[in-house]
Amino acid sequence: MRINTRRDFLKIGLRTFGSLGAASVVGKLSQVNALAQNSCPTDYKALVCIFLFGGLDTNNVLIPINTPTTNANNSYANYAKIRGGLALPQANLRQINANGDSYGLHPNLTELANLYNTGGTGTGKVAIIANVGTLVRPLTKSQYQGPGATVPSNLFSHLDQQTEIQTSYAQGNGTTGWGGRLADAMQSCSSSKFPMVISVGGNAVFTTGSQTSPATVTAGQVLGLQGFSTSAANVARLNAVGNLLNFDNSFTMVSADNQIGANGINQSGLLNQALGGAPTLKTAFPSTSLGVQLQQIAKIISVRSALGANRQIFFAYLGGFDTHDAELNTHATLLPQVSQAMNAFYTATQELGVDNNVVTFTESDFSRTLQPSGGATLGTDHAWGSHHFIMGGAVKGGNIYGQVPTQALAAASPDDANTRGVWIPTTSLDQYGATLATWYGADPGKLATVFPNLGNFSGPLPAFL
Amino acid sequence: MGIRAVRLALFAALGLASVQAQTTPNVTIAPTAINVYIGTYYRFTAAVTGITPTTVGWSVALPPGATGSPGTIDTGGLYVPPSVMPSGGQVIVQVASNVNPAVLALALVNLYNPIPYIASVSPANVPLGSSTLTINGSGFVQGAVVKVGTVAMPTTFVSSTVLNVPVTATLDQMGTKFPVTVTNPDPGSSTTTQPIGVMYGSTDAPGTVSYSAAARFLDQAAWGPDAATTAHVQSVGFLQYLGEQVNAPPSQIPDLALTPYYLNGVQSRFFTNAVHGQDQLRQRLAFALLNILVVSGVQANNAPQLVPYLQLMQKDAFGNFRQLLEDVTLNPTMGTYLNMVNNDIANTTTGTLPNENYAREILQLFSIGLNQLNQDGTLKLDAGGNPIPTYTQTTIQQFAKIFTGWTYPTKPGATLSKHNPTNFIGQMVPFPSNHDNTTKTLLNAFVVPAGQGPAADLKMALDNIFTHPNVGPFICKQLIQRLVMSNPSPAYVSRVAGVFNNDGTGVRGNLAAVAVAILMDPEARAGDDPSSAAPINGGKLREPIFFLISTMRALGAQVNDTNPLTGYATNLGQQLYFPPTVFNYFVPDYTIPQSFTGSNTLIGPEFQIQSPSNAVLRYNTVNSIVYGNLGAGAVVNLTPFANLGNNTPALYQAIANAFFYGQLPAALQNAMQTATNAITGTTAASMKARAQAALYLALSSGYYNVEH
Repeated sequence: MRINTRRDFLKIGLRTFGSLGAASVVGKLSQVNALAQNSCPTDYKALVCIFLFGGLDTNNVLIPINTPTTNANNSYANYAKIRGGLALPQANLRQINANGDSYGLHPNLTELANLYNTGGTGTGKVAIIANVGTLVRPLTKSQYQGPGATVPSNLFSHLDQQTEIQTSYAQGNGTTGWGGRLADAMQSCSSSKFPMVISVGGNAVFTTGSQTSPATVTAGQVLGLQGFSTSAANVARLNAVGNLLNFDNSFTMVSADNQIGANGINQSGLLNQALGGAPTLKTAFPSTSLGVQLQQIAKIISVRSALGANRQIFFAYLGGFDTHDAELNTHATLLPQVSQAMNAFYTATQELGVDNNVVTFTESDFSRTLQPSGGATLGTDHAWGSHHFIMGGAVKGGNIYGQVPTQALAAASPDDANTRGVWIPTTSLDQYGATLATWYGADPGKLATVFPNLGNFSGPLPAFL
Repeated sequence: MGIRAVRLALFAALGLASVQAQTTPNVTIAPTAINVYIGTYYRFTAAVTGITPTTVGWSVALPPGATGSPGTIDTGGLYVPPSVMPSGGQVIVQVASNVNPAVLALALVNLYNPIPYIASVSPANVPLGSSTLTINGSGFVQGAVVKVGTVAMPTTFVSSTVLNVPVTATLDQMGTKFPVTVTNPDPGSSTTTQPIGVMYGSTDAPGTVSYSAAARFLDQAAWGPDAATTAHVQSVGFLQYLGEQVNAPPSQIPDLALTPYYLNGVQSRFFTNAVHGQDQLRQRLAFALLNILVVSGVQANNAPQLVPYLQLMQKDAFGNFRQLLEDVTLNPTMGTYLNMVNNDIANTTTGTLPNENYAREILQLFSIGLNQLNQDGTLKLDAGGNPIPTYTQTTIQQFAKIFTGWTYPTKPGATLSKHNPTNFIGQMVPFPSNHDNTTKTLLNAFVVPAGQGPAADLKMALDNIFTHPNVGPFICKQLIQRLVMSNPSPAYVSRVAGVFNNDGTGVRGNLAAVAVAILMDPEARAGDDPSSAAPINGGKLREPIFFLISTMRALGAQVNDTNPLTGYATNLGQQLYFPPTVFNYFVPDYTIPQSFTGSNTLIGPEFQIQSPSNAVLRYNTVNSIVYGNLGAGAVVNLTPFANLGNNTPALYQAIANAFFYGQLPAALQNAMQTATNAITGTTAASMKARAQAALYLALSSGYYNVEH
């Protein structure tokens, strides 16, 4: 066979690798059909999860200033008294309102505050959900402090809480993520060869389903195999690569590594082809870690048609929020990055005409103690429920959903799990996610598969979408 | 009663005269007294005078009052002792004239215990720690004593053919062959003379290690095999190699005073040491420990801050875990990373409490983990089948108090203050008035009394952690995962944790002994024999740093301190010395997504950073190594392979020797052949091209990525 073009060459490579594990694919298709949606959407929608690793102290992200309507016990003065040296000066806060109450956002969240305030309550492009976190079932303070309560496993442990947030399974040890399971639920509606879930933040359990295995993209890296020309020798070598992807000598781990390699080669081939026709984005992104990731996501969204995708779930991340010390400085470095990158991304979705079709949301391990910890520079320790942002044209923004905890310690706050301002979540991660998944298009009957604990929570889902 | 006295009494009782006239009928016996070992025999002779014919009859009897068997004697005077010593230990032999039985003679036999004989010793190789040695043979009696080397062991007599002794093999005895003897007690105490010995350690007598086994061993005990080290291990055996490694002088991490501020040179030196250093095992262990007791350049982003911690890991790699825990705890780099340095006592004015960071992570990550473990690393469960936490949030806050009141080492000439200026040289120092001196309740309800001060509190707390039964299985399982395999069996973990708990000399936490136990364990060595089926769920993925180093070593690379390997590792998701968090690049219980493992559930820590896109980058890294140019700091030597470019069977075998422990599965050979057959010509360039194509396929294969 004569190979004329790079594209033909790639097709040969893809066909070779496509033969890997054909039998298992058939098996998976039958499983997928069992999960088929009742009806398939024809529009495009995407969810973008930004995971803030380390446990963002949202006590310094959303500060109640004067909230007589929803919680008369909260005030800037109460916050400042407990926070001590970590208290942000009131004058520097970005003023926002909700339900007739006034709040402040961290001074470095300028762009998010602007998007929140765009158009006023219910029409802003950013909403906030307050005190959301891991829960197996609703939990009051007296239940938590009493015997026999069902409590999330390994509270306050980074790894466990990250996993429970990403799996939406507070019992712990979940092995699939809710992004992956949501993709499982919608997979029957997709004919794209490119995975519905795409991570620009490496392997994350959020992105893995029972059937769904994510594509990964390292932002800024050259995609695809290097070193293969169209010479006969190189074509033969590429064929040999494909042959070796089927050789594992019965070692399970070799087989797993082969499948990951085959996925990587196939996915990068498909994405390279699609990105070949990508429009040039005019929106400027900050050259930060999160900025580059969200820019990569915007590029992939721009070629959604070439990829044949009408539903996509993305995973991005930023680390460094484990502020046991130097919290003020760390936030001053990281929060502008979050705000500016998210703002650029929203602008890019406007440019691409999909601002009403893309919803971006944040998650983190947990929030942190309201009461500071001592040292040369002040920090905070691991806590529980936290506040998060939801951004997009479809978001009923300019509003706070859920309940802001009473900013007091121990017995003085019905929300404090112990003595340091550790908020027992009043909205579960399942409820938060279920609103997102419902908007995404999951059948109501599928929600229990995606969020196994959702049935433990009664009442309407938070209505930010 | 003495023998002489017995004999006189006996003769008197029989009414015999000791002297008779020469001319009277007479029977004499020779000898009249003899010592005979049970298990041997003795032929007596008789002489008859004054009677014809001169035929005689023989018989044996025990002295009056004795019990047991006297043995037997035949018509020719051949005496065979009984198999068991009769009471009194003496037998009377009588010979009498057949014509006149009243004419007789007697002899006295003093029986000796048998001469012991050792047929075999089991096991032939004594494992590290305590076990039972069984001596099989014959002639053993109650009271027999077994010696191993020169040491008399407390011996259990099982039967005349079996003795048991408890033995305790210590690390420094590994690889030594000890003679084994058995000494029976008096009467006739004697000792075995067979040259039987027992090897302390495993089956690796010098000269018996195959190429496959030696090369595979070096993927576990070193940064991968190279030709010279593989040959050396074959020549001296595993245990002597390990002994050499434990005693090898450490490679040099750049001297702090001479090190530029930035970490680039320190990172490059790591790769130089790993590729060429003679202290391979120390480096593997130090790197493993660095990945358990994590500090990161994300925070410690300069040489003066990070290097002392790296030196500590190297120093303590073969030391005791308790010492390591203390050195880490008081290290200012760790103190800065996890906020133990300048951790303040609760302040009611400013409303702060002690920082919980170090308290939490020393428990969760550095020593015991979240849940109670059995010695084999499996979870202990409560009556409801749930894991049992090792601590609560309250415990964390109690430990947080323990870790208050320490600050940076006081600089020379400076005065100690509550918060000393930053200084990473030496250990943190206490500032007692900043220490929480109240009572604290630690693990397992251990109470630290009030008023002890920071140093005494710290010692008690570290002892409290170190003696927790979780430490052995928690740490050893991770070390197994980092050196040998991702999914060790519970029995393997238990054996190694047993050595952690007691290295054979009663010492807990001996890391050198743990390393030897990990590497010499039957489960680690199970894949050494290529003819036997390897466990399908064995092995582990080479993490990017190890992948690069093992590839360099196998390719005979010359690497120096200008090497660019850090950049390649970073590209693959593993920036040396910069794990993203204290949870490292990947976690020890990362489960490979089931979509990749089918019906098997497999742990694969390194798979956490083996994303599909990183897998492609690994191919491209191989492309750079084989077809590209890494620069003057890392020069691979492809010449030995290119020289075989016109003899492809030999080329394939050379690649198998370098990367696959000498094994060349047909599918691998076929794939290389597919590529090399498409390259025509016999020029030097063609030869090299064939070598490169085959090497690219070998290095990029999952079969190499996953060591097994």
